[in-house]
Parts: sequence; C-alpha cells; structure tokens
Amino acid sequence: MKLMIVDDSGVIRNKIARGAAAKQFVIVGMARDGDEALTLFREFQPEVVTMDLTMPRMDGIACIQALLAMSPATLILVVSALADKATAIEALKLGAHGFLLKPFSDEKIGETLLELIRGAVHG
Amino acid sequence: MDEKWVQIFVNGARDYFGGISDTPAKVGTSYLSESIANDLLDYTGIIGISGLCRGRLYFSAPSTMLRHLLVTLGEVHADSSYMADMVGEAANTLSGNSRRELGRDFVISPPTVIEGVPTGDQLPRSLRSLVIPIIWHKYRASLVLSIESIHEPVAANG
Repeated sequence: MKLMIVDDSGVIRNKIARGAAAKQFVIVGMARDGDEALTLFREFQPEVVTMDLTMPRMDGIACIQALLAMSPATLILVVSALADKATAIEALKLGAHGFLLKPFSDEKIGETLLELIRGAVHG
Repeated sequence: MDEKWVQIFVNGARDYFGGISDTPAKVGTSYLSESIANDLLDYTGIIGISGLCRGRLYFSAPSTMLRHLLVTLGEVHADSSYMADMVGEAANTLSGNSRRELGRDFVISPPTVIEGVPTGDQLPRSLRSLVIPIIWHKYRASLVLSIESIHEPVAANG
C-alpha cells in the first residue's frame, strides 16, 4: 500500500520509513508539516498516512481534517509524543484510525500499520 | 512547581531512554539554577510551554551522546543537522509524554534548536530554573524546566 509520512523530524520520518518498508509499504512521500503534506497528498494519493501532531505551520489536527475532506477513505495513523487521552480521543473523533505514542520501535510502527489495514478490511 | 512536577519529568526521562534503548538512563539529583548557561551543552532543544503554565523546557546534550542516540534509533546519518533534529525530537517527546499526567492544557510548541550556548531571548525569563541531570551510557545531558507561572494545579489524566 502507498504510505505518506508526516513529521517535522527527519530522524522520525526515516524511522517510520524503515519500519513500514519492512512490512512492504511503499513510501510515496515524506512531509515536514501539514502544508507540505497536503501538496504531496494531491500529487501521490497515498492510501495510508502517518501523522505527527505538533508541527510548525499546519499542525496534525488541522491536516487530518483537510486530508479527510479531500479523501475520506484515507487511513490515518497518528504518531505523536502527546500522551494525554484527550488528544488521542480528539484525533480519533476527527477520523484518524489509530494512535501510536512516541517513542516507538521499528517493529512496533510496522505492526501498528498492519493492524490499521486489517481493521479497515475487517472492520 | 512542586515535587509532583519534578517526579513527572524524572520518570519521563527514565521512560524515554528506556523506551528507545536497552540502557535505562540514570537521573541525577535535580537542583535550582539562576543561570542555566553552564548546564547547557553542544545542542539544545527548546519547547515553549503555555496553557496550564507559562515557560520553557530545555533538553541539552553533547554531540557524542546525540551521535550515539542516532545510531541507537537506526539512523545512518549523524551530521550536525541530524544531531539538531535528534535533540529537538527528544525535547518534543519528553515534554509531550508529560501530558499523560499534566493533561492537554500543558500546551507545547514545536521545538526550536540551538547549536552552541543559547543567549539573550533563548535563555529563561524565570528567576530560577530546575535542572535535572540525565546520565545515559557515559554521557551527561540536562533537562531544564523554566516555569514562570502555573495557572492551575496539576490536572487529572486526560
């Protein structure tokens, strides 16, 4: 499946890319903020997106709303350091399909992305 | 800022290093500092804090530690831009994870990263800052909390 990674940290983008590639995801774009994510999304039409929340310019919450307005079927996994329950609940209410807390291992991000797809297929 | 706040960030530092590596961090005795310039190292990630309180969180580390962290995370690059990225992401994760206890009203900014010693506006506005020494492998980093004012008691989870 085509995956786009959105995070303001290059180290985290690379880590997600390694974990996802090991599970056969195809990385079609990596964005540093919400604005860049919208541009790449229009160009590459990913089926799955990992989304950081705390980013400059357009943050993750605003970007989730914009992406789902363009393409409601997009699967979004929030990958964030924000550990309070209210933030996770808000992201899920907006239409995100999962939430993974930082820090995480390569194995964990890959497995979580697979679970996201299984949930979409069977849910 | 009371003992409860100190413990939240001490536990957060232990959890962070234990989460990204097999080597847990040791946390030294925290202390108050009126001038944190001497506590800051090669790279410093700065997080602006608003909402529940106003202030800044600093995570500062030597280059040697950041290179080791990058390798631990599987990163093949370790030049200055990656070290800056690493210190900013660590500051972001340490502050963001604290919202498990502090709640969503502990609002954090994206990180600003300084290479070298911060000066002027980059230094805390508060009179005294809390410095938490973090030892991981043979390296020493500093987690600094500079809180100007707390608007409410520590919130319940979530």
